[in-house]
Amino acid sequence: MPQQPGAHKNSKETQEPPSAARKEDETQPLYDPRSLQYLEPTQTSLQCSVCCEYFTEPVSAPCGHTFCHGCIMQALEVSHGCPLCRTPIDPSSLYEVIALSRICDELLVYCPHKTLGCNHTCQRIQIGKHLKDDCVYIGTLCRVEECRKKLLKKDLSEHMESCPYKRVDCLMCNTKVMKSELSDHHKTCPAESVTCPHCETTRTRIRHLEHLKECPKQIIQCSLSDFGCPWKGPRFDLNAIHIPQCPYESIRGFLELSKTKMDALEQENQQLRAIFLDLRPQVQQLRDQVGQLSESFQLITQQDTPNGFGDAHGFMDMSTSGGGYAGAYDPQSHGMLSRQESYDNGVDNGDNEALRAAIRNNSIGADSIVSNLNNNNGVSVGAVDTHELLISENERIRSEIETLTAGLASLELKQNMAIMTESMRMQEEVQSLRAVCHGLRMQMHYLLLEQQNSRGHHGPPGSPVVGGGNNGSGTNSGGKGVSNGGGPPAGAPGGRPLSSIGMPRPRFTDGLGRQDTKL
Amino acid sequence: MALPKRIIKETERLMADPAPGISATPHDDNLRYFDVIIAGPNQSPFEGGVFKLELFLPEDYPMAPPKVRFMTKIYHPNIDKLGRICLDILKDKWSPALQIRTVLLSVQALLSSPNPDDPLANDVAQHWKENENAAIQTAQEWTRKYATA
Ligand SMILES: [Zn+2]
Ligand SMILES: [Zn+2]
Ligand SMILES: [Zn+2]
Ligand SMILES: [Zn+2]
Ligand SMILES: [Zn+2]
Ligand SMILES: [Zn+2]
Ligand SMILES: [Zn+2]
Repeated sequence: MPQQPGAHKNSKETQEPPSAARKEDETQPLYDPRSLQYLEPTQTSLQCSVCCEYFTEPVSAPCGHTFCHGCIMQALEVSHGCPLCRTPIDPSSLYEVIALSRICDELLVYCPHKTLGCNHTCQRIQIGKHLKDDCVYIGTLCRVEECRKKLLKKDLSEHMESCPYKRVDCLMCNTKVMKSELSDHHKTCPAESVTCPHCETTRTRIRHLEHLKECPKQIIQCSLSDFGCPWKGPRFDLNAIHIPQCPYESIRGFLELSKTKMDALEQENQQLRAIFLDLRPQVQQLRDQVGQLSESFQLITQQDTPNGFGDAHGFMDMSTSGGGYAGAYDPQSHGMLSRQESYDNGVDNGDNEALRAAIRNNSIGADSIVSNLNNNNGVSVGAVDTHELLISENERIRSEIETLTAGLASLELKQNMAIMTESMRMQEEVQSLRAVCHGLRMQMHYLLLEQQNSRGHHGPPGSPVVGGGNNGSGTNSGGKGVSNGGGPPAGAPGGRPLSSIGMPRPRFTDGLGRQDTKL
Repeated sequence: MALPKRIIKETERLMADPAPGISATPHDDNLRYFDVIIAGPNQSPFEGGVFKLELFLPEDYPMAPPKVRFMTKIYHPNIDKLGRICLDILKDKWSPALQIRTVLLSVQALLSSPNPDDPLANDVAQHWKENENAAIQTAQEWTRKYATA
């Protein structure tokens, strides 16, 4: 009996501000009972000493003091005595004061939304019903999900007339459309009837779109307009009139072929362009690196190399012009040239060929230096070392070539000498052979004469010897006819001077030699 | 958090029908914070003085007591140097049936009847017990010195 319905306690604990109480949610209290305004003049005897309002569900304690049920329960949580006389109170000893409760419930109150304009007054007990059912000044939300606009109940129906999110039926296609979008919808509604602007026939929009693909009066371009045919005219005329006389139609195959080729080329072009764009930053990067290298190299040469050093000069040229990328990047054209000059100065023209080759090697070396420098920007000493190495290498090659040339000359001299010596020896030998032959011939003569004399004719003994001696030249000339004519050997240049000595050589070497063996 | 109706009502009544010798004015920007002025009661060592206090209503008021503090220096055995007041209804004897008005009336009564047996300022209480006349004289001097408007 003393315990009050839980709902009341609830309503007290969840003291919501009025705006929250206005929610449509039925489970939330519609108002804060302690915020009600009463028409009656204040009667403190009917008021709770905790909340200073007219009692709400008043309960009395054994001490005789009366409080709202909610107020005393809250106060007892803090201290266990009566707020007025401090007598200890057991919550179960509280009892309802029904007569007082009725008196308070019958007090006249204003509607809590008086400030919003509701002039309604009623007994306190009625106010909940008023708020729930009658009060149009209670806050509510537009029922359309997308809108949910906060407004007073009295304004709701007006709002629903114009709520931009409210769905309305499109009378043409029977779909639901937001009111705000209805006029836009009419521009696209598939059921709306549309008149073809070309042939002036009318049909629904959805069919009009189909129709536009085949409307005979629509002005279209020739199907080969892509290739340059300027013809334009109603669709109907295209096939009927134009196509048979279209100059492009006859080469349609060619045109289409070239179009496919063009397309392929275009595609390739785009790919290449992409690659190019890809490469550009890399080139820029390289350029920057070379620029840095040139600077650092210039620094190196200024520090480490005395002026006038040919090779270093070459590189200096390279690096000074190397602010630009082309100069630094093409040592063959630039650094090479100056280096060639410096070499030409020191070397005679005869050896130029070999030297050029050497320089060509060198320029490759320069390339590798550049790449070396690329690898280690800071390592300058190494570059100079390589540099000096190249110079000494060139020097070495040059001296080698000189040595070779000298050796060649001396060899030729030696060979000439040897040939000369050999031919002299041969001449002497031939001479001695000739002498031997002569002796043998004389002997044969003698023997022949002796044979004739022994057959009967005996000539004076001394004459043949003398005659033989005199006939020497005579037989010589006769011998020419007897000889088999072996030509003089062509390859013996040293032999010629000997022929001036006397008899021709062949007779002795060939003909007589054979006769000798017969003998 | 909206201001409870009770605080509004109490404030209205304090302004419309102030207790004699007491004025309490809420701050414009914080209606739970009051500037309070209490006149020194007649026949007390604080007669003629005007004492400034601050009063703050905590969130759970009236279930919890208001917080009250003297801003004006006062020589009183139940009020310390910081202006804190030793008054049972501001502590364990608080009741939600009490109001700002009743609290301030109690403070005013405390000025009329200092209670050196429940001291907060020990040295003042000692002085009061040993030589009440001298203590009262000091209180009067302080009132003249600090609490004269
Ligand atoms: Zn109450
Ligand atoms: Zn009581
Ligand atoms: Zn209403
Ligand atoms: Zn709406
Ligand atoms: Zn439609
Ligand atoms: Zn048409
Ligand atoms: Zn055409």
